[in-house]
Amino acid sequence: MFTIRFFRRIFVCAGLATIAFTGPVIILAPAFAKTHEVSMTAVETDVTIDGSGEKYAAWTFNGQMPGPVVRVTEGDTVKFTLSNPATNKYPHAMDFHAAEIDFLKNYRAINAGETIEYTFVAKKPGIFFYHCGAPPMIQHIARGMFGAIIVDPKNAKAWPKADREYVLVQSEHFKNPDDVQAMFDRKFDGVMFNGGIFKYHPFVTGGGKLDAKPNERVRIYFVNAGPNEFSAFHPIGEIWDNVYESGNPANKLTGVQTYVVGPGSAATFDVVVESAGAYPLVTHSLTAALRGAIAVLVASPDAKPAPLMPMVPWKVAVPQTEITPVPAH
Amino acid sequence: MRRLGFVVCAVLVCVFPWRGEASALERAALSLTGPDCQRSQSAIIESLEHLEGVAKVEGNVIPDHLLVDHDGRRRTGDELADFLNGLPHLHGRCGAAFMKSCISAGVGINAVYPGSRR
Repeated sequence: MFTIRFFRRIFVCAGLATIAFTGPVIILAPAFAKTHEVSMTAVETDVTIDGSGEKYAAWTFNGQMPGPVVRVTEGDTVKFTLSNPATNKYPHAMDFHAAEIDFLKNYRAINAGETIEYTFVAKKPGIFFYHCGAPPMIQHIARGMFGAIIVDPKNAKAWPKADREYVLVQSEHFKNPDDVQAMFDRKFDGVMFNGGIFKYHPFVTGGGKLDAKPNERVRIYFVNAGPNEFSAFHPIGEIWDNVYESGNPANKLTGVQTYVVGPGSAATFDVVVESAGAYPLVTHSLTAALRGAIAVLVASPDAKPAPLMPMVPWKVAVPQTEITPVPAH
Repeated sequence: MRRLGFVVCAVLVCVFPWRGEASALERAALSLTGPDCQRSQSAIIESLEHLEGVAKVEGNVIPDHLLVDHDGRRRTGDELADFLNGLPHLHGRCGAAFMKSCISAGVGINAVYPGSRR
């Protein structure tokens, strides 16, 4: 009798102890993983693509090129909705590289006037590409239907804390948005960061810059949207402190001068600039850099906070003073 | 009716050259070196802003540089620097040079983007 009572007490105590210690974990664990409802609309619209205010007949997510940055944490659920308004002319779709789901069911193109929804769990941390996959996909990407999703690592200490973060999406620009053959032939007219030719090049009319303070760890989430060209991403005057392939802290390289990011891929780059000055971030494929893919990081003690993707959309400032016209000859 | 057509044409001819000016706008980056550059910066900017063909001058974007939006058909970047170096009160105290570097846009860019700098 004594033995049974004794063991029953032990059993009850052990049970209570288990609930006391593991119960909160079991109950709280799901609370760490969030569900994000992400809705995007396919918008066929003109966007500004250079500092002179040149417009381009783009196809976009939410009217901007690149589309909005989606940011979640490893393990979170994304409930995604894509709307293709009846006012559009073309079918559109969405392919998230951060998702591991059936392509046939979820990435199919929808016609104007339709909506598609799907859900995925962002299981792996990193920086991932997203894009429209409607045919011809080469044109849908070239015309602007692309963007970035950041999946932050669940363990924030998996890598050094960044003082400042930017997202840069490289893509090729084809002047004639209807010339699909030029896209297949790789005859691009310019290369853009965040949807603009020399958008962050202060030495070019209408160009801006990326700001940082000396000794800040600047983290660049870099996506190459393509559709075709490889990027050889290099910081002029600096060396990448760390490069993380696909933005996963487990894929760490140290002391890298140039790192190749293929079309449809991405990487995270950390740089710490020690002194004030200008540090151009370029693709060292110079036919691309000298046709638009230059972003100048300006380090200055009075650098102000900046959004993840500055100047998206690009609103080109009109000069305050009119210039005197040259007399016609 | 013919007179109305003439008036419309005349208005178009007069108005559209002004719109075309935007494509001639270039940005020149001038580096400033010397003991008096910081103190004289506002005077330097004012001198440049009074030049014909200069639309805007910014002195607080890149350290020790001026960014000058100007009519590239009227003056080159080197000529803007020469103008500043010719100002008597700056002589020997602050020198200007037109910034040329590896990140200057390529030769092909002007054909594609007339607003971009050579």
